[in-house]
Amino acid sequence: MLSVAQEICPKAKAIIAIGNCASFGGIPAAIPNPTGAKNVIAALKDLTLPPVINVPGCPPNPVSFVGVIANYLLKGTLPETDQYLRPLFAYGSTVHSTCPFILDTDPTTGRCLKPKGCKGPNTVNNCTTVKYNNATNFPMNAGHVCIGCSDPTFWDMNTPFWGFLAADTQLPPTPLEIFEKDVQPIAVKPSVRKMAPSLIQKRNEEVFDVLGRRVSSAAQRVPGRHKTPGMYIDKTQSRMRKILGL
Amino acid sequence: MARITIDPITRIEGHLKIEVEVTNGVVSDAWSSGTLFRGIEIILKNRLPEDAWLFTQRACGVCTYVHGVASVRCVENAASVTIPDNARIVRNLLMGGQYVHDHPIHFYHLHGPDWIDIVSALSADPAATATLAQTLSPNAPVIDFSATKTRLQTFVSSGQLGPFAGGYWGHPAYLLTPEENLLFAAHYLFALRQQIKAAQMHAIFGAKNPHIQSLRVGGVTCKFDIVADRITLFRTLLTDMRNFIDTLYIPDVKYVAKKYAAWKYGGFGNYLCYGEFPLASAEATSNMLPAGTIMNKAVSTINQVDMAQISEHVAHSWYNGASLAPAQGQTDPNYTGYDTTARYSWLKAPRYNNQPMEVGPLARMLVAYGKNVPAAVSLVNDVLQYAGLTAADLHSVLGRVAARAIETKIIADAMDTWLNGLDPAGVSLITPTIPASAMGMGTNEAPRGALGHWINIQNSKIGNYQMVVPSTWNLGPRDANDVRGPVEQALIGTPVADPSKPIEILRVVHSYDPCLACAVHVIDPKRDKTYIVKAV
Repeated sequence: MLSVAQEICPKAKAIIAIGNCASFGGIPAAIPNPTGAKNVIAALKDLTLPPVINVPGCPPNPVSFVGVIANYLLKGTLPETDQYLRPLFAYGSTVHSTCPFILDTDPTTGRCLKPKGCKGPNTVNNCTTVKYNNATNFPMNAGHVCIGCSDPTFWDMNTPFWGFLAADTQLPPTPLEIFEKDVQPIAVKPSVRKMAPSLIQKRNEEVFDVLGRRVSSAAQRVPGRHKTPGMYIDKTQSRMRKILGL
Repeated sequence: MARITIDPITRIEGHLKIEVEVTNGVVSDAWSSGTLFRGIEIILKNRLPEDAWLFTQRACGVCTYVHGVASVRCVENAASVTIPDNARIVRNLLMGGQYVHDHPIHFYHLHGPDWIDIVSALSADPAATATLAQTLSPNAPVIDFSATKTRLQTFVSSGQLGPFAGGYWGHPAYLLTPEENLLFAAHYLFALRQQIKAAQMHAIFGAKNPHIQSLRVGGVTCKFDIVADRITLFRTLLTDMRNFIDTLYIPDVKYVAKKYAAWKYGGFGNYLCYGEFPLASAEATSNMLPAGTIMNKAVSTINQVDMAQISEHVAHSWYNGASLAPAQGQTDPNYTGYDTTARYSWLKAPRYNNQPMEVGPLARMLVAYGKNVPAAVSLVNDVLQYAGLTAADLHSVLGRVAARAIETKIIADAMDTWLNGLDPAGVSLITPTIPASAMGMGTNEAPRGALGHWINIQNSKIGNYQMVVPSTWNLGPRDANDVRGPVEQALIGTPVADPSKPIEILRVVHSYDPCLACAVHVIDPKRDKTYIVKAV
């Protein structure tokens, strides 16, 4: 598998690491990591790779994976990510902050599982909003604590699952520690186009009909082919009156 | 002797390598090798018993749930816990849900392309196919075969064949007409959409699929899903799945079995079943699918299961140590290289009373048949009669395929009744005390077969944990007495028409529904060539 990855990955346009194992090492990398398992970036750290994006989770939400693909197909780029290369559209807020039970804290009847050791407050994912299997369910709704499966080293960091972390609990590794190299999160520039002044002037000379459609512009006007703008507007208005029954 | 290796075998789960020896066009010997090791049993050491099931469930996401429930059962056994009825029923619904999701996918998407020539479907007449569909199953959902044919044609014409690349299309072992191939290709696509509903059903009580997250030692956590409208939603999806099973899955299996009735290869003879689906709190004696062993195809003699007879041999596996019972088992890996005369697999070789045993649908259905479970007897006899087969023919690839479909129907039908037993006002979870020191064992029948977990709790932590999984029984290597494992034995006698297109070998291996990936290399010594075969 490693030799296939070493051959194929440098030739790809992008790499999507699906699941906690590919993103962060996952369960085979849990202490004591008997096989020396690594995440994709660390395993291939000596190669020059195209952009990598992580879609972690155990399992990852397929909706998040499809979202990454759709973003790439529509915009030609990967979406904006956090420092662990997780797309912000899916991993931009904590599980706790979006959980429907966040205020349901009555000691007897409350469904908030934070007092029981839910790892929602320190985990980012979209389980509570997108949910699983055609939005059917998610763990806290089924009465089980979040185990934080989209975070690096969660198998060690978040146990006991139904308990609280000891004072000397291992904290999540830094990106440099987990990926064994420097990685830059993917930043997306805002999509405001700046027009050249000459084009702005041409745009100001354009004529629009009552529906806001551009009728003609001074730049596009060809002698003999277009009537004066006024007539276009008149024709449009009479057409509109007919459509509207006026 | 001519050695043949096929590399890689896909349409399975995991990492498996098969090597066979072919003499005069027939397999005369075989070696089965598991090629991936993660060490989950090692990772579990020193962790909390209550956390174990979440770790072990990650043994596999295809057989999701089964390791989770085996794990909570073994801790509950160690703590002498009896779970409340609501929990027992929810767990049965989750286990049944896994079968209803898993088995149709195996028949249509994993095993199917071994029997159905997708490319041949492109020359079918859609109108004749519709007539065939009407004859085969008049109540099946209506499918536009013309549209299916166009869709397949567009896909094939694109040049990127995706899951159909590398197939042995046109091989003489394919026996279906173009219309039959188009019919089943259309069902392949239909089943791909249908399985979404089964997964959705699983998520109602399971939080999500794969990797259920509603179990706990002492019961289940999903009490807020045990309410009328969730039960109704489950029943609606279940009814849709049962309709699919009755009008598509079962009729298709019967038809394919009849067309391929000459294909009685790939049989074994010893079977093991732990029993599953407890119908009462006194679990062990109330299983809907009874426990039992069968030796040497003697289906009329069902023996009781004695767990003390189980040992795991490592003589031909990459581990140090001797044959041990799982409760004392060790996992001490030592990779020495692939050598079919010495050690050649990461799988251990489980043995029952020092005999290799097949586990899975055929084992379950033969035990149920032998014990006269009415639904099993009538459905098995119905398939045998339709396909023109006898009970002796069940010990074969065909028997496995038929058993898989039959038990899916039995379980799906029973699930509708089990729903009635849920009590929205009842208890679903108790909080047991787990002893600081105890041994426990948890078993279940996963879709692929008999599964067992053994735990040794020391100082309130996991001191030792061992899993003996179905595919280890079925696909394990030779033992200390050099006796072959089930798939190694089953492959012997299989015809191989063309060593560069070994579809016959795939049919036998796939019939075990391996939860391992296969890498096999094919060499034909007579022609002195090395074939590197990519199996679809």
